[in-house]
Amino acid sequence: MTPCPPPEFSLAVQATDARTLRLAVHGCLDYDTSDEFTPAVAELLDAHADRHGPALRHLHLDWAELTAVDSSGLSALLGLRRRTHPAGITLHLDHQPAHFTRLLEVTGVAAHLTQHAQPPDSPAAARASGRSATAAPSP
Amino acid sequence: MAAGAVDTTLRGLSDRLWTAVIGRDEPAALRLVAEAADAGADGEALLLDVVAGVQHRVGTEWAANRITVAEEHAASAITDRVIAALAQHRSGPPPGSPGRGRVTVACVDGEWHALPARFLAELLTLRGWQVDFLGARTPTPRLIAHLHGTNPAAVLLSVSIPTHLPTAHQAVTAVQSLGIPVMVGGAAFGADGRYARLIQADAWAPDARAAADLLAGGLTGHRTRQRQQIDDLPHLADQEYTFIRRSRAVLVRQSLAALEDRWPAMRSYSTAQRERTAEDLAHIVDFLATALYVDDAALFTTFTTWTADILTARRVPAASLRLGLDILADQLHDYPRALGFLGAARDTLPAMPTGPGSEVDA
Amino acid sequence: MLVVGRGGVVVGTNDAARSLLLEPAQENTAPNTAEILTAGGRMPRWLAEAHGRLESTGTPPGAVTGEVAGRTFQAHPSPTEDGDVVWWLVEDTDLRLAEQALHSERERAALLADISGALLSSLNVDRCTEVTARMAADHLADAAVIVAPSQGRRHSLTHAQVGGEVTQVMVPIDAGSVPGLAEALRGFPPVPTRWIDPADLPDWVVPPGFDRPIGSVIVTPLPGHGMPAGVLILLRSSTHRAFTDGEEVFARLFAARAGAALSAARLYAEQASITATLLRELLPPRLERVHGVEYAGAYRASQDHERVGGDFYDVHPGADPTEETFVVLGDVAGKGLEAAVLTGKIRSVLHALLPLSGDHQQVLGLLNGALLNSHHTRFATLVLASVRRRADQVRLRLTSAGHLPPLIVRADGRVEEAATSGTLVGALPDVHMRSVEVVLAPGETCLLYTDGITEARGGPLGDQLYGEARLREALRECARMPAEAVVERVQMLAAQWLDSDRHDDMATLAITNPVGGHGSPHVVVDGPADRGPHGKEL
Repeated sequence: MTPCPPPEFSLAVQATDARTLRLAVHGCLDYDTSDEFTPAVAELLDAHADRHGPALRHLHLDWAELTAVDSSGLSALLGLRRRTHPAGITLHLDHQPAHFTRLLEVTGVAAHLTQHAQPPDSPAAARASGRSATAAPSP
Repeated sequence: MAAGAVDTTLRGLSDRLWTAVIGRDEPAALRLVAEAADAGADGEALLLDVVAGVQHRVGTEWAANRITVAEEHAASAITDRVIAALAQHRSGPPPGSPGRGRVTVACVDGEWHALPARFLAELLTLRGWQVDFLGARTPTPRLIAHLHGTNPAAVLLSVSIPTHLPTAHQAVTAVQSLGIPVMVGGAAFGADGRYARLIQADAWAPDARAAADLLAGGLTGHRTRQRQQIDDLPHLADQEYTFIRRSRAVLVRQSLAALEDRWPAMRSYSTAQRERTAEDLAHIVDFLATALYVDDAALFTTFTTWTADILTARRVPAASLRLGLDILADQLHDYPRALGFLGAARDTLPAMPTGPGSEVDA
Repeated sequence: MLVVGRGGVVVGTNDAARSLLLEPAQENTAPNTAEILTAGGRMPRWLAEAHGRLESTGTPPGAVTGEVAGRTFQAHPSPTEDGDVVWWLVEDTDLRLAEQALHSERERAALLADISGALLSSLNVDRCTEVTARMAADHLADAAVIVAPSQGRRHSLTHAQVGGEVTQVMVPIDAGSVPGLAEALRGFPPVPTRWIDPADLPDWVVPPGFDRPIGSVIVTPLPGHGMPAGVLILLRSSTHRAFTDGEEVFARLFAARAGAALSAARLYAEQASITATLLRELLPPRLERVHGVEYAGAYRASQDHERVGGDFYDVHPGADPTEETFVVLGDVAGKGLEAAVLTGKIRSVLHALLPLSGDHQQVLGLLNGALLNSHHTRFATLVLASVRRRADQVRLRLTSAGHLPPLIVRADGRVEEAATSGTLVGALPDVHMRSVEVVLAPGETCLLYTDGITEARGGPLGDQLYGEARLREALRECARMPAEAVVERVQMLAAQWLDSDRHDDMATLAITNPVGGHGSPHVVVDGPADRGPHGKEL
């Protein structure tokens, strides 16, 4: 864990359209803040779905302003992927600082996190997830 | 065998053990003490005169910069195993008077030099005490939890490096507040134990044998005393110690920049050399803070004199240290006690020579 | 008012003084020692002496105070012109009684504060009991006995007497042998126990060496939290006055405080014992030399007062020197007890998989399956090592599952990173990893460590990561070092780098081919648990 003073963390919406949401992660994603990350992203995803329906295909997270990340942060990110991947949303991890790249490299999860997601109503996605698509029909 | 003959044997043994320990030859070291113990050497003499004597020499060589820190670690690890082997060797109950009480031996938090405390723990075991040895760097909350659980007759705390005196003070106060008397020992308290008295320890001993003798005579503490550190050291009210402790990183960063500005030789330093200089500055700040804590300029001057010798051995001119103290003084102009200490230390160091000869490779 | 002439002769009195001083004389012809008879009548001795001093020195002594017929008076002298002295007596009995009461009230309050301070400072049952007994003997009685709640059929008795040592014994006693004791031990209100006949007291009540006859006794319960913490028996010798009502009330106040402190200490001891039992399985193991290979581990929990956390390591020795020794070091996301519980689970699974430990891929695949959980993404990263000695070489097969690769310290001071990598376990459906073979010559070490070391934040300039580069640089000095020295050095450097109390768990494990090689005689070097620095948590 990397204690970084001050242990602050925030999310900002950089840009959004029906298919793509770009979020910037500021500060520190660690043991003390990762509990805030999941609900914060979930709220933005819910807001996007309220506005556009389940049209989102790409979630870009911009890490340029990330000061530190640890295994708890990585755990939160894996949790996010559990929600987005079955929903057909592909994660993109942009502008990674070197320490973040190193963490992804060492833990061997970069490919898993950013794996291309099939839209939930496609036959491929249904096979991949092992269950039928339950998301609402696309508009 | 006459006593003189034993001494000669032990002295010869010390030399051979030193060679084995410094040569990282653990099997030879273990064999030497095992043979001496088998030959009937006195347990205390073997432990304190031979093994502790060799370890003392390791410490002296390290302080004089004749062996590296890594070599010191390697030697200490071997010594530690030698002590364990000796303890194993005298299997069965110790011959000392049975029914002595239970005591706790520990190093304060931050203190990594476990061996002085380990020697004491072994000696007390030899003399029949039931000893709980908590080892190096024991956090005070863990020490207190241990005491709640075991209720020993006394606590013996070891501190080697003076910068841990504030932590030691906190630990002593906490233990005394339980009504348990505390004896302290170790190089940090000064050759005469002056800092032990300052922090109101119940007893101080200059070495392990003296500590064991004092303990045998019975240690009476104050009955439960509720007090805080500032009650012992009213000078802390000026906040100089607090400020300097808290501002350590800022002081070091500013001093490093100023040093670079005023000492041209530094500009050609590699990253590693700069970091070493930063570490030196951090040590200076730590010792200055400790001197302020115990309100004793001599503690700081002793440190700067020693540092000057080390720097000289590293082929860094001691005058750079004087410059460093001047730079710190510039930053601490609002702190009269700190200024006094810096001035006293500075006056013992050679001035920076002027001219091109001043640029010395580090 | 009375007028006293030269030589202390009472020459005049008013009615009030006459009734106070003279009237008893009519009933009682012989003056008692506190009075003297003068030509004019009786006078209190203290007043006569004050008058004498006044005459001999010629200077007014100011007011004097004394007692007359159980009342106290202040006497103010005022010399008259003809050489007599008029003494004005002002009664201050009520004031004095009030002051005395206040004083003893203050003393008791101060004593109670002292007692609370002394009792609350320790959470050790024996010490609390000892302090209670000693304070009771010193301040409330001549001797005190504390009867602890029974343990089986026996009770712990703590005896104290004024100025003597406090002693503890564990004996079977008959609680019915002291009136009120059985009830007090069960928490019933005490009977009025001042009337216990000291002759009926059993021998065990009297402190060893207390040879004075017992005059009076109080039995009072030490009320605990929900159940009695014990019973306090106070004894006074017959040469001492009996307990007053006020003293009995004070004894109850004392007992209330002592009982609360004793209960807290019992509760703490129970909790500490439960915690210790539960943590025992989660503590890092002590490591030692196995089949000529040195292993040393060191662990520092993120919270300095805790002993467990999210990092772990284990060494499972091969059954004989031809078998591989299986080593694991790992890190689960999170901190503290919650993380430690998961490390316990992982260690158990790996222990169960020991028969398969030769195949790292299979072990990690099975562990991944065991940890996968649809509810959370709590994962672990770990390094596995299988170690076997071949002549003077030590061969290792290393596999990293999403963990920092081990560092190899060569005998000449070079530091290499083991070329192994893989996915973490417990979060992904499938795991993949690449193992590597490494050979250690004598004097060489393989260091397994967690990111708490490299992510230690601080340094002389503050707020900098210790980092892998500094770790490698430090390891260059660790060539030919014993395993203990390597882990201690790395832990020390990281600890000294920290500039605050906030840090992650830090674990290090060194696998070392000792300088002397395996040909050195096998010597048992480990002392009893908790005695040496190796293998203990740092």
